[in-house]
Amino acid sequence: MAYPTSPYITTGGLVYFARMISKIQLFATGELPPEYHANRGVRGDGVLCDYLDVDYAQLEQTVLDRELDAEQALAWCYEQRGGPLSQPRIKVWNDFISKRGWNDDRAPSLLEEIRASGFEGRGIQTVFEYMAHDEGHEIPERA
Amino acid sequence: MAFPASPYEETGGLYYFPRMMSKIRLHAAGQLPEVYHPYLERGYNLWLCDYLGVRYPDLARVAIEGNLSNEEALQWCYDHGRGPLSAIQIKIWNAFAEQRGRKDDRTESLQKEIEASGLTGRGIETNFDLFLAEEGHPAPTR
Repeated sequence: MAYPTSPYITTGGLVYFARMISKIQLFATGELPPEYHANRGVRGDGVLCDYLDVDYAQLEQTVLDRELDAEQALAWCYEQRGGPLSQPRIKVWNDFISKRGWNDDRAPSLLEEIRASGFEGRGIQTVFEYMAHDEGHEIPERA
Repeated sequence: MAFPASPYEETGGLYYFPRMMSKIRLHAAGQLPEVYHPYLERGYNLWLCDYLGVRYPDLARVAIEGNLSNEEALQWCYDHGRGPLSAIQIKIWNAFAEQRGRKDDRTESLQKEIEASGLTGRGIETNFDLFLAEEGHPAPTR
């Protein structure tokens, strides 16, 4: 079993994309821990695919059939949607997803997860920070 | 002179759109305070127009010439830009816009503006918080 890539890793400037692709690849090889299976294609994955105007199932199939890495997978997404995201759109995505859980509708369930994991008192305020603590990833200074 | 609409006002579920439109109208009528003029084609206005796939000068011209309501202006954006936003894309924009200034590249300059405005200690963490405090808009109820 192996943890997915850190959500802070960027592909073409986009955070989380590399994590979504790593989950696809790990699941295909049987290495994705079972607790991640239920959220494949939903939550962060589903939101990012909607943002990119691509279908998660099609992306997954293409990544596995063509053995694409994250950069190649993003290029495929951009081909499907008719062009790359603008820099402002990348910024909107990155800021939105990296702050998810802070003072929003995800905050109550995030707090429950923090408590259940025994992470209280570590200053975790976002889903990204929770993932980093849970999986042992580094947290960038500004995050 | 008059302040623009609250950033929390919505059109089609989108925060900030009514504020951008009110700035366009106030500017055209000569009623927008000068402090807002440098930002007409920057920051939120630029980002939201890019998000919708339209150009700010085009939107401003069409809205003024056609005397469009907020709803009509958004429909024009959907007709001439990327098309209607999905519910998820609206949620992403709203969260981005509302939380701008908190632990991001705007944080440092925001804190300086808060200090310069004498608003330190009021729990202001975001641009939206600052707009409300400076312009006297009511805080939204969650």
